[in-house]
Parts: sequence; structure tokens; C-alpha cells
Amino acid sequence: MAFATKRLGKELTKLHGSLPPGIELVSAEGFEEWLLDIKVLDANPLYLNQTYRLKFKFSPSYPIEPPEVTFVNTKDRPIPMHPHIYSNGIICLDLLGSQGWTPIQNVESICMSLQSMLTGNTKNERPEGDQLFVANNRRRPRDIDFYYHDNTV
Amino acid sequence: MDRASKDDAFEVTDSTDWLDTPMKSLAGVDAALRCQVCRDFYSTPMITSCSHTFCSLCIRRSLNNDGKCPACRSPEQEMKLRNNNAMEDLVEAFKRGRADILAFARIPAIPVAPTRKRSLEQAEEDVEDSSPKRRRSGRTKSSSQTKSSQKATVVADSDGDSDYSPEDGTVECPICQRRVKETGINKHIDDGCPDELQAFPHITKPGSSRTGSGYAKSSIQLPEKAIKRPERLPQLNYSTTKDNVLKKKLTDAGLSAGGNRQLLEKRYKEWITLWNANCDATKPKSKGELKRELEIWERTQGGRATASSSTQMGAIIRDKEFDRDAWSGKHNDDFKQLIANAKRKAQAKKSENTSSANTPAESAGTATPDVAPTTPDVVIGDNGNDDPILIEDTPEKPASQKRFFDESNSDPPPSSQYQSKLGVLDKDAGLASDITTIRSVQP
Repeated sequence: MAFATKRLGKELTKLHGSLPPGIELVSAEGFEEWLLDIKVLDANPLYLNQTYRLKFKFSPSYPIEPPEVTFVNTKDRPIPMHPHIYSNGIICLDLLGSQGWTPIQNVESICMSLQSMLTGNTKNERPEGDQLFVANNRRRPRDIDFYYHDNTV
Repeated sequence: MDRASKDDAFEVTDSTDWLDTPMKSLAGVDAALRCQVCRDFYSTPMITSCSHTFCSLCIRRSLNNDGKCPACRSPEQEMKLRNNNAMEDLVEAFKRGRADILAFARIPAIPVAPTRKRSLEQAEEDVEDSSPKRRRSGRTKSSSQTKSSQKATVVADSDGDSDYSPEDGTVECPICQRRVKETGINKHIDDGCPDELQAFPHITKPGSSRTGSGYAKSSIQLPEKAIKRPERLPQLNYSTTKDNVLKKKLTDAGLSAGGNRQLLEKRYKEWITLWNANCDATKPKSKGELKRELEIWERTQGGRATASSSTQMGAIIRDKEFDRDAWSGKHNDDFKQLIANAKRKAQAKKSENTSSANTPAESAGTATPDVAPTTPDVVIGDNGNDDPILIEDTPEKPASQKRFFDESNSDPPPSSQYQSKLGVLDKDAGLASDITTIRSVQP
């Protein structure tokens, strides 16, 4: 059995069994793309009563390489407002880049990191240059060299 | 031991298995015996200089990728890895007992007491039945809950039992460890242990029968030492290694030397990783097994996985040995469709030209996203050499299925593969004149 498949199989049984509060598995057909819903659990007015959908894409080198994680915009699942989340759903977070990623992270831990990233945010804004980036970017998130400068989030 | 690890490969076991049993605390034990990278029980655990433990293969792959410990991100080198033998013994012991303990833990609470008593009694009877030589009553009584684990313990003990001796009137020579007739032992020693195995071909210890009789001595006492341990392969400096040297290394190892330079490097790297991880193992696998593992890699991450992606595709088409006939045969329908599309678009453009003029940006348009995706096999990755995800730019698709952000017009063409493809078209079908038409058409 391939490396990635085996590990994802294990993660999936765990996700089916027990999940931390505010995280829900939406679909996991095969081992290439999974959808999960996350909620922010505290009373942060920016994200109150909202559910956000995350799309995970796994390469065959997972978990040596990070998965590609983006927010997806659907009818009742907006893209959360955050100074590090572009309006096209691309997330600028060091642990999702090859520099910050370590193979001991997993789907669950990423969801929890994103939950806490949202919980801690107070700014109702998009990243600098959001319009330009969204209009011009055609690269995949893993090929973008983000500059991680902000340690407050 | 072997059986346990094989079973494990096909069955997804997890530390959460314990949570719905009364033995919840074992979930922690179970989790602590698993590698954080593959989430499986440690296989050939290695300890890093920062004192974290991973499977040999996991940590080597990980270090190949970024040279850092996955747990604490401190820099680490493959050379510094050391076997964590205590962990390995612990894992093997736990794996052996796991299924039985889990089965026992899952028995509903009330019928446990009588069932357990009965199985213990039965187990004791089993012990009485077995030969007195094999009996280890103290250990077996305390260590087992079920009959099957009882048996496993007894068998395991007898294997390593140095007191074991067949009752055939022979004794073990203290010098050469061969079985010798008790009456002749003194003469045997005095004669300097002559080879008497011919006379007693059947009298060798269990386990030694597979090896040649000449090696009987070493295989009896230390069967693992008899295996010739493979030597580690050195890492290669790929930037200074020429193509033919790399190809030779692959061929010497009995591996395929096909594919472009990037793939050759990746394949050789993976082979070194597999090989060196195998060198750490207590029971190294055969080269054939390693090759099968590389085969899996080849299917999922290597040549056959990437062959369909755009960069590889271009390389394949440009390759000298590229089979043009097979290619045009395989994609004949696609080409026909492309041609039909091109003609249709050309006509559409003519009528469009009469009605309204194109904007400068449109007429300069380099991309041909509407023509391209009619080829179903084609994967348009933005860069990806191992990118399995299909991204199509079909304009007929509803907006929601499109890429999640819009493309700008100023971008380079979606992929140069169409150019090369059209190049093939060009040669094969003499369609050069149509290409210019295709390019200037708008979606």
C-alpha cells in the first residue's frame, strides 16, 4: 500500500471515530481530496454562527509534503474575513508551506490551527493586495512563496 | 513476528481501537509505539540526535525532503540516526499481544469472569499436555488471557530454548555444538570435532535445517548473524554527477534507467532511502522485495504517476525515442476533434470579424483555452510534475467548477504542451496554416 494512502486511511478512521468540537468531515472520497467544515467556537463577532468549508488536496508524497488547504466558497459557506486569508480562499499560513510543514501535522491538527487562527483574529480585513493577487494569481498555493512576517496570528 | 507485521499492512489498526473498551489507558501505550509520520507501529525505529524516534524509512524520507526533525524541526542528518532497539523490541512484543488483548478487552463485561476462568483452566491443561521440556509454567500462567496467546508464548519459548534436546542418546558438543552420541563425546572432542554430521543428518537443531550443514554451527546459536548485512549506499552529489554515471548506477542496481534527468534523480534517491532504511532493519529484506517497494513508489510518485502531467508530457514528446505512430494513434480522436474545433472557430471568427472588431487584448491573446481541453487525457497542471489533479479551463463549465479564481489575460499560455502537440499535428497532418487561426480565436 502506498505511503500516503496508508497514512490517510488511518487519519480517516480517526476522523470517522472522534473529532474535536467544531470540526466536521463533509466528504472524503478517495485519498486525493477531502472536504471538512470548521466553526469558530468562541464568541468572536467576525465568525459568529458561521461555518467554513475547507478543501484538502493530498499529493502522493503526503505527509512528507504538506497538503494543499484552501477555503471554498459555496452558497452558505463564505470565505472567512482574515488578514491572512485571500478572498479566493487561499490561506497564508506557515505550517501549510513547505518551510513550516512537518509530517507529524495532520488533517485534524491543521483544522485546529485554522480554528485558532480565526479565533485570535480581530481585524475585519483581507490581506494587503488581495484584489491584485486574486485577479492575477494562477499558481497553486504550494507554489506561492509567501512571506511570513506576522507572528501575532 | 512476520505474520503480525504482514497482517498489519492490510488492516488499519489505530490507537483509538482501545477507546471503546474498558482498557482505555492502552490507547496511550498504543499511540506511543507508533511513528508520528506514518501513524503505524514503528518499523525499524531510529532515534535522532534530538531524541525523537521515527521509522527508518519515514525519517530518511523526511530528512531527504527538508533535513529537519519532523517533531522539533531541529536540523538533523541521516548519518546521525541510531537504532532504537529497545523500542523495536517493545513494538514487536506489543504487536504480538495486541490482537489478543484487544479481543479480550472487547468481550462484554459480565460474561468475562467465567469465560476467563475456563480459558485459563483449558490453557493449563494445554500446558500439562505439552512435553515437560517445553513447559514454562510460571511465565505462561501469568502472561496469558486467552488460549491462543498461551500457545504463542509456549512456541516462542521453545524456539529460543537452549536446554532443548532431542532424546535420541546424543549430547551437544560444547565446542562445535553438533549433536554427538553420548558414548562417543569424549572421542569426538579428543579428535578435534571431526565432521560427523554425515552420520547424523537429521540431528540438527530446529531452525538450522535451511542452511547448509557446513554452517550449522553459526546458524544454531545466532541465526541473525548468518545473514549478510547489506552495506549502506552513499548519497550522491547530483549536481556533479553526469547523466551517464547516474544511469549506470541505476542499471548496476538493476533498476530502470528510463525517464528524464529529474526522474532518474528522484528514482535513485528513493532507492538509496529504501536501501539504507533496510540496512537498519534487524531482518533485512531481500533486494527483490526492495525493488517491489520501489515499484510501488514508481506507480504512485515516480515515472508512471507523473507521465501524464504537463511538464513530463512535453519531455516525452521531445524525447528522441518518442513513438510518433503510437502517440498519433492513441490521440487520433483528440486530434480530429481539435481540427474540427479549429475549423469551427475559424468560421466563427470570420463571421465575427464582419460584425465587430476584436479588442487589442483579444487579438493579441496567446492562450487557447477553448481548444485545448477537448483532449480528455491531458492534464493541465500549472507546474506540477507530480500533480494528479485535473484542472481544466473549459469555458462551457459553470462558474463554480472553474478554477477558484479568475485568470488574467496577461498570463502566459496555459501550457506549452499544446504548442508541442500542435507541433506534432503540424508534422503529421500538415495543419500549420490552421494554427495561426486557432491562436487568435477567443473563448
